[in-house]
Amino acid sequence: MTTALITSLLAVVTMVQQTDTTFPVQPNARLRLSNPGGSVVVRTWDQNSVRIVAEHSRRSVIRVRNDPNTIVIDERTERGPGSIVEYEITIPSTLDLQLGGNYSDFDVQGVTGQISIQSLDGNIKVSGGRERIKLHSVQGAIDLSDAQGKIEVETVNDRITVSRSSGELTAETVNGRIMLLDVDFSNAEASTFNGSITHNGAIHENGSYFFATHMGSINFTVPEGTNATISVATGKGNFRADFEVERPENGKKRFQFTLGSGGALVELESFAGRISLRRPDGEEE
Amino acid sequence: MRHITQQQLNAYVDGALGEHEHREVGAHLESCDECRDALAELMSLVAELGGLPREGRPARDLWSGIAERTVERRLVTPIDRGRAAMRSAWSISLPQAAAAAVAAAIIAGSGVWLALGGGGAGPDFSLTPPPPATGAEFVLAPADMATYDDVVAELTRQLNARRAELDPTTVRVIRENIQIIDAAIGEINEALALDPSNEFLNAYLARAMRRKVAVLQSAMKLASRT
Ligand SMILES: [Zn+2]
Repeated sequence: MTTALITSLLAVVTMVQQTDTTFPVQPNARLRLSNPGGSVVVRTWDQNSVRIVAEHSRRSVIRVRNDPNTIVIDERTERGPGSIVEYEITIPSTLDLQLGGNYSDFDVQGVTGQISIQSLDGNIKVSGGRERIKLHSVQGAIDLSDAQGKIEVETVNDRITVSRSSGELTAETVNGRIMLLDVDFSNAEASTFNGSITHNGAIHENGSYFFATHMGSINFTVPEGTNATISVATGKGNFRADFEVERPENGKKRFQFTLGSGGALVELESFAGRISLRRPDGEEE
Repeated sequence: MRHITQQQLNAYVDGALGEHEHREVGAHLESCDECRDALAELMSLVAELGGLPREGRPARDLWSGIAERTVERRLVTPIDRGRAAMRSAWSISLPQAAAAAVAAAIIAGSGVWLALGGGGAGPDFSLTPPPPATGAEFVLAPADMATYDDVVAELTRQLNARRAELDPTTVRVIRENIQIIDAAIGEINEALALDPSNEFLNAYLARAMRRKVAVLQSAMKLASRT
C-alpha cells in the first residue's frame, strides 16, 4: 500500500465527525429540523431531554437553538448549509415534530405529538402521531402506521401505505398505489392516477369515504352488516362484488345502492380500472 | 432593547407575539444587523419546513379553491340526505372578470411558488357551456377554464425558467407525472365531448386539473429549495 493511498484513506475516515449532545426540554415543546440530505431517525424515551447523535462533515457543525418552546436544529459550514447528515434523535414522545429535507429519508417512531414532515426526494416512514399528521413527499414513498387524528399524506411519484390508523384521512399521489390497511377512519379520501386503491377497515355509520383512481383498480372491503350508501362510477372499467348488490339492468357505468340503513357515504370511482367490493378475509360468502 | 431572544424570534416568525412586542421586535430588527441575520436564517428554515408564517404566504390559489368546491360536489347528488343536499345546492360559475383578477393575483404572488411544469403548451380544453343557474347539473364554466389555463401556463413558464436549478431526475419525474395527468385529462375530455353535461365527468375533470396545478406547485417549491 502506498503512502498516498494510506493518506487518502485517513482523509476519508476523518472527514466524518460525530456530534453527540443531550439537553433538557419541555415535554410539550416543538422540534424543528431541516436536513437537506441524509437521513433522520427519531425515537422516543421516558426522559424530558433530547439527545442528538449526528454524523456529519468535519467541516460543519450541528447547531441547536433551544428556547423553552422550540428547538431548532440544523447544520452549517462556514459557507452555509453543508451536505449530508445522518441524524439519530431521541426525544420525549410528546414533542411536536416539524421536519424537512430535500434529499432526506425520515423514520419516526413512537411520537404522540403532532408531526409534519416534508421531503422532496426521500421516503417518509412514521409510526405514531396525534392530532395533526402531515407527510408530504414528491419522489418518495410514504408509510404511516398507528396514527390518530387529522392525517394528510401526499406524494407524487410513489406509493402510500397507511395502516392501523384512525381519524380523518386525505391521501394523494399520481403515480403509485394507495393501501389503507386495518384502518378506522370516520372520513377518508384517497386519489391516484396510476395505481390501485385498497381500503380494508371500519366503515363508520356517519362516515364518508371517497376513493378515485384513473388507471387502477379499487378494492373496498365491506364488513358484514355495514350500513352504507355506495356510489360506483367506472368509465372503461368494470364492477364486481363478493355479495349480492342491486345493479342497474342497462349496464350503466354509474350507479348507487344501499346496504342496510345506508348510513355511510361511499363513493368509488375508477375511470379505467375495476372496482371490487370484498368481504373481509374469512367472511366470504 | 437588548438583542432579540431565540424565543422571541420563534414567536415572531410564528406571528405569535402580542401587538406591542411585535412592534418592538420589528423596530429592533430595523436597527440590528445581527438579529436581522438570525431572523433571515430562521425564516428560511421555516420556509424549508413548509411552515411559512401566515402573512408571508401567498393567498391560496383560486384554482384550488374552485376545484376543492367541485370535489365537494362530487357525484352524490342523487343521495337524499342533508349533507348531500348541501353539496348539490352548490354550483360553480365565476364572472370572467373576477376569474381574471384572481388569476392575476395568483401570478403576482407566485414568485414564492416557483414552479413546475411539464413542458409544452397547456391542455387544449373544449369549453363546456355554463351551468344553469339552479339546476343540479354541474359543469365547469368557461371562466374557470380560463383561470386554470392561465395558472397552468404561468406555472409552466416559471418552472421552465428554473429548470436548470432542478435535478434532472426530478425534472423527468415531474414531467412524467404531468403526462400521466394530461393523458387522464385527455381521456376525460373525450368522454365529455360525448356527454358534456355529465357532472361526474366534470367534477372528475376539475379534480384532475387541480391535481396538475398542485404537482406543478410542488415542483416549483422544489426548484426554490435547491
Ligand atoms: Zn439585535
